[in-house]
Amino acid sequence: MKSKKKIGILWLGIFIFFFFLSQDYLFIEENSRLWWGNFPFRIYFFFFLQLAFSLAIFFFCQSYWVEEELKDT
Amino acid sequence: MSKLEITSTILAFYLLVTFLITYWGSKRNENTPEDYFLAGRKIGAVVLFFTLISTNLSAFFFLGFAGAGYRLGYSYYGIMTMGTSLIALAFYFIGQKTWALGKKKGYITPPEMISQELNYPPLRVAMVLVMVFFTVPYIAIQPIGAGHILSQVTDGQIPYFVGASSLTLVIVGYVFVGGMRTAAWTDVFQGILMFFCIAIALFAIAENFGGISEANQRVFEIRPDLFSMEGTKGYFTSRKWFSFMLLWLFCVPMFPQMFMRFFTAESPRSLKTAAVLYPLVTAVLFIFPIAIGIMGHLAFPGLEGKETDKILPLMLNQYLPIWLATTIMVGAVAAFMSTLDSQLLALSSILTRDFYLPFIEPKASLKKQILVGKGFVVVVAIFGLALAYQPPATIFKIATEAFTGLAVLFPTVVAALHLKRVNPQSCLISIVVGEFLVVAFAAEKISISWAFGFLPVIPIVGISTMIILLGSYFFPSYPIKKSN
Repeated sequence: MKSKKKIGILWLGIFIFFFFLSQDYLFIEENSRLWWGNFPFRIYFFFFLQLAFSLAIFFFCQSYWVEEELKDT
Repeated sequence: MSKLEITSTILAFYLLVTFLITYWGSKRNENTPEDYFLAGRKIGAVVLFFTLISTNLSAFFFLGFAGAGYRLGYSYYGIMTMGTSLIALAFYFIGQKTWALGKKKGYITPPEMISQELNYPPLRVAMVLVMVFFTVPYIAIQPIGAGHILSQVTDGQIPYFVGASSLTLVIVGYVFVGGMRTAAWTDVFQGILMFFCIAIALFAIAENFGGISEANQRVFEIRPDLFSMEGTKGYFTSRKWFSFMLLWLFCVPMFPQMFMRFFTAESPRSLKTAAVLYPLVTAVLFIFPIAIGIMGHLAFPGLEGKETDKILPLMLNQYLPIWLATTIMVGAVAAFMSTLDSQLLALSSILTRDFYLPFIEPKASLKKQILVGKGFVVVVAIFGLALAYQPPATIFKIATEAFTGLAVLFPTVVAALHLKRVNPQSCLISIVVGEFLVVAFAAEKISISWAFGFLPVIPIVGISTMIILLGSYFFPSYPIKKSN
């Protein structure tokens, strides 16, 4: 179980690292016109990133589920 | 129909639904403190998600976000969305352990849990003082906001303090009757209402400029700085970005009203669902008020300072029919109410369990505890309302510092929940030193340059963390064994 927890934390850590790094890519100099709305950022990428973050949390929770830890409490 | 009649009708309908939910919820109440303060620890996944997000998003989400969008531009969206998403991590790293300990040992409040886990009562006093000191001004700000909104929507026909008092009275009523269960259920209704209202507001306002794309293009032509990653005047440097990314993770779970939600989950699955949904919903939700604020430059250019926080009501009154503008502002009122009810309940439970019970009547019966808790709901509400009557400038100052002040508790909570060997005295010292630094930075006794370009919360939490780690490493002789 402990190795599963480590894998889970590593997976989440890697994701958060890229989460921080990706911010430079989010904003663009001019209006994007790449997607609906004329927003100044790659809005499709932004939503994708948030979705990926949700999935990262989901998989983290799956890899080290809370009931297991309750036994140690 | 006059403006006052339209507003009264829509508001009355909203309050009627709130009361029906209260009535429905109160019928399921059992007469125990666990049931009154924590809904019997039986909040399911959907309700937990809504109550977490509705409690977190006060009317600051409506008025403050729009104002910040007006001042800083779209960079605020990126920062707030990504920073708020990280709160989801706290649902797991703090929430699941809190839930488990609460279930196993019957904890109801955070100070109770942390002090007993570390077997060190002074920590309880310190946490209570910090939580009360930084939450009371925030409580006062809710009726202040609600009063101003009602007054603005009705062109002053509902005077500021009448609006503030009436809504506070309603909240006290349903919290008094139903406790956490009705607060959480009304949060679902209030949450859905505010989500729909703010989304409709953006689309309806943008329609006046030819749609969102056209409106953004027109703003870009006159104010391209609002579309940059750094925000206007280069406000968001990379260090500020970094600070804001971590600020919410550190402080939001430390708000007593948020922290106590972790005890209420029916199962860990509820917390997991909330953690997964949180980043998604904030990504969608935050764009609405910020975009409205930015579009405000097309109609009301040149606003500055506190005036910018009025941009949302200004835009609603300018571009939407009165019935729609009022409905959307009722959404803002719902946001106020969903935060205030939780704050009242959280503080009343802390004052009952961590002040009344240990210091005044340790053997108070369960019934007495509920009664005292209800009494504290009324007392705290009156106190908040009294502050709102003629708010002193210090209220806003303290409320502004509340985020950093509460973030100081973060290292102590994480250490108590996850470290095997913790010196509790070092936790107490970390809180005292941390709060001293918060005050010193706020009073400019310490120059902001000592934050090295970050928000003060980063060095302060860093120092608090170091104190705990070094104290626990070098002085492990104190009875550090956690309670059983």
